[in-house]
Amino acid sequence: MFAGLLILCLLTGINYQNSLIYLFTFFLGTAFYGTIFQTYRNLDDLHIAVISVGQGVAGEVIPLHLRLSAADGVARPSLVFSAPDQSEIRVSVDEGGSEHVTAPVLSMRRGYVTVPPVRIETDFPFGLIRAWTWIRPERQGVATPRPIMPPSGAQAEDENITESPNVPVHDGGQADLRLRPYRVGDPLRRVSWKRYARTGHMTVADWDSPPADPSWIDWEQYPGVDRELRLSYLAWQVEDAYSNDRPFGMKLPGHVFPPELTESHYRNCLEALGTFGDDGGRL
Amino acid sequence: MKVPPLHSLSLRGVDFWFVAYVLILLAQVGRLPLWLSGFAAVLGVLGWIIRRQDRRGIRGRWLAVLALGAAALFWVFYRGQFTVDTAASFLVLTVALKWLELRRRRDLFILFFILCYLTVVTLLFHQSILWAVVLLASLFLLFTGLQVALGARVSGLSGQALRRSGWLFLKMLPVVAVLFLLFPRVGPLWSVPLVSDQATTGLSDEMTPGGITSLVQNDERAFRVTFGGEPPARPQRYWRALILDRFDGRTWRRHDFGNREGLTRVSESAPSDSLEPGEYEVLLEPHGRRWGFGLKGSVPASSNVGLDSRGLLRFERSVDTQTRYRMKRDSETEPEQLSRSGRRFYTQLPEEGNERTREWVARERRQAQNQEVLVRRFMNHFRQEPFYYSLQPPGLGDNPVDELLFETRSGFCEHYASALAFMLRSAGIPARIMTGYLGGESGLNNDYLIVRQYDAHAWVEGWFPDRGWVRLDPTAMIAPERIESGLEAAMADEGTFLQDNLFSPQRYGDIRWVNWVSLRLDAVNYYWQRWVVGYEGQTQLSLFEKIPGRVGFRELGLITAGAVAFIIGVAVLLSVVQQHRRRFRNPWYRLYDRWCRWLEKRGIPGARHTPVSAQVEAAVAAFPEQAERIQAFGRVMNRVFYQPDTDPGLELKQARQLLARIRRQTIHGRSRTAATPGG
Repeated sequence: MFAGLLILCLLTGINYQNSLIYLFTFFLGTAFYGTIFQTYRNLDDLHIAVISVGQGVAGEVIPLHLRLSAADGVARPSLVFSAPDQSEIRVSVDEGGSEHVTAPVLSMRRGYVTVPPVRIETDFPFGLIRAWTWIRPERQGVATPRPIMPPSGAQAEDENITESPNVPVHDGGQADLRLRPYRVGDPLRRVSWKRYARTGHMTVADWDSPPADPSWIDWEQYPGVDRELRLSYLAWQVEDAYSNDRPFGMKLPGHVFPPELTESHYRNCLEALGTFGDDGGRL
Repeated sequence: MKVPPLHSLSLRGVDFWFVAYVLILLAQVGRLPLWLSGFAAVLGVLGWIIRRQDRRGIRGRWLAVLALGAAALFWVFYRGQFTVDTAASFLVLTVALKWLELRRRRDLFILFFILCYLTVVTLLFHQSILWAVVLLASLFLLFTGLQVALGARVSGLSGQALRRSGWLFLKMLPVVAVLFLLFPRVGPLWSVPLVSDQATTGLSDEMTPGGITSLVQNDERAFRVTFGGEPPARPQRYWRALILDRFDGRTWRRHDFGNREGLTRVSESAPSDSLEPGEYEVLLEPHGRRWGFGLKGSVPASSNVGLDSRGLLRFERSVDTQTRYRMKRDSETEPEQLSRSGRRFYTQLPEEGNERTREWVARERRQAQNQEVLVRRFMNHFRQEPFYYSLQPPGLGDNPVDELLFETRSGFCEHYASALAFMLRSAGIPARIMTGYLGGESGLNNDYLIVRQYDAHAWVEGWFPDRGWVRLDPTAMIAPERIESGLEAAMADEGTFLQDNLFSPQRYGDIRWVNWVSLRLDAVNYYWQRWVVGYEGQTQLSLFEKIPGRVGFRELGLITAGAVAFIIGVAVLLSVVQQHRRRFRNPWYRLYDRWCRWLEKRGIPGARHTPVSAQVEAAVAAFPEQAERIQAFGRVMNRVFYQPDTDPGLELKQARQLLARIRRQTIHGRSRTAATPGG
């Protein structure tokens, strides 16, 4: 379009034999050429540091935290960040300042996410020329399983217990067990000998059908369910517990996260779910 | 795709454009119709108010109504005339409307481009230094405004933007100059419409009593002349422009020989090499007509001007911009012959009117032996009788010649010329009125003559069988000082010289410094016109003739292309060098570079493109015995690059030592391992 303007000006100058129009056309033309450098300079000497790659749900975006600073202290207006298939983010770095940018990166599936190249472009100062570069961070982010609400059966059971959270606490440490009278055939190691010594009744801790426990989010809770779906259920539970301020622990094959209610715990649990069974990818 | 609306701060950049727009409008206001200037101004201010309220424009419906209304008015006013003039007016209108619609980025660019072109087109109407500077300033403001509009989110950008576009323009100045000099100025490619029939001051193609008198209050330049060799004496400087040959008893008109003006190309201007003796060069101010000015007996020496059948200068198209042409004085002209019908044509008079004069002429004619004596008697009559040369003569009635000769006896050149032509014709001598200019004052250092509107003059030419057309100037008889030293001297007694023009520097020509300043200003302007505005094809070629070898437009084109390539190359090179230097000012970067080079030399390819941690890993794998040092170095580098807030100043020396030791050790290591198999 600018070239069109230049040609139009030049033609006017030629046909009217107007020297000053030539002069101004050359001004416009060289300004255009100078713009190439000016635009390049807007990206040149811009320091970009990857601070961290955040977490996100699979299929959605993962935040890529970057810090921008201009090494020479000159303002860098109108920088545009764009990762593939993501909307653009416009940032400007003030004179002598630095700026924090969070660029969204799309994750396709659960697990370690290699950050795709992020494009930085600018058309400042005149919008006539575009300069761009790619940043390829080496960091990996984690996409957590998409939370799916567990089926209502398990859910109902869950809620029952949530409503009566005060499971009778008998002996310390054994609170989670359901006790019933001894029946013939029960293994002897399940007999609560302490209780027997105190009361004289044979009581058995029943492990056969342990109820879903609110503060434990357990892999074994959904036997027979597909792995990914199971992870999604667990992720939902983690989200649910965390957002309702309930301390929770999580059991995964090979991993046990003792109950806690902190953000780092929450993140660790989600990361474990995200990377479950996925040891590849991490360098 | 949804386009985000403009950031509110972008509108600040638009304010820069508004200033540029005001400048352009100032340049155009003289030529735009009143309603259009008013419309443009009102819409501009309206746009300003809307921006102040942080709005992006008015409703589309209102805008459409406004646009349609403006277009209708435009159509009614211009009636489909197509000239650059109307095109420029249309651009003004478009911009005026665009102020009310600035929603998106795209709108910004549209406005920017129209404004740029409008600035350029305005140069068709104004070419003086002053306006060139003003328009350049508006171009500058346009670029600055664009920056502010695009980088809206940065605080304090206006100052930076001004600096940046200032530097840009300054840096580009030499390139622009080179391009201006070298770019081949080929002739016009096709015919273009006229700039316009501008209502400029200047001679008119008819003469009624009082016509020239009004012109004489005007001190604008008509043209400037440079002579090769000595200029002719002042009384010889009759600049002929028009022949008025039809008289209706009051007004002298020009016979139209049916030479209509069509759509033609703009002609190229004259070459600019030095003038031969006898040649002269005229730099004509635009007057919107097709005639030029030349001395009697001179022929064109440049291709942009021609002579018509009666030996007057004619241009192909109206002079709508400043035009430079050359003439050559050619003394050996044959006396022009006049056919019988020609004689009848040049002695035509109305049947009736001015009876006293007719009787008087008949009396004189009886007393004179021949035509020459008769003419001499006429001229002596003007000299001896008490005729007055005045800019404020009493009005004349139905018999203007009678009244002038026998009653008022006071008039200006046009009155006397009209009277003399009437007298000659009624005596049967072919006669015609010539109009043009007389005299001209010297410019700076007598380098050129300046002829102004108040030098306008009318005189008579009579035809004699053996001598052809002879100049007869009654004014020279009545007020010889008008011929000898100009109008100011002639009007000294009456005090009417430029009396309506209080601020004209010419009026104060006797005050030394006013004269000094005005001469210098004119000289600057003259050389600007001559060498910058007038730098066209022929000028360019004659400039490059001095270079050995034939330089045509083709060669110039090649040279230009070469120069552009060279400039581009140099600019890229400079930029790379500058960037390199800037980067290497940072000692940490220098250290990092050394480290990368070491890695590459030690066979870790592509190391420069991996993060420091990966580099360290690779280096440790290659030189496990140096693991500790390498890791320590990596830690420092990582901290420096990724936690810039911590001050690593002290560690620089340490890091350098680390690297130096790593390098030394690995060289030893290498030589040892290389030596082992042999030993």
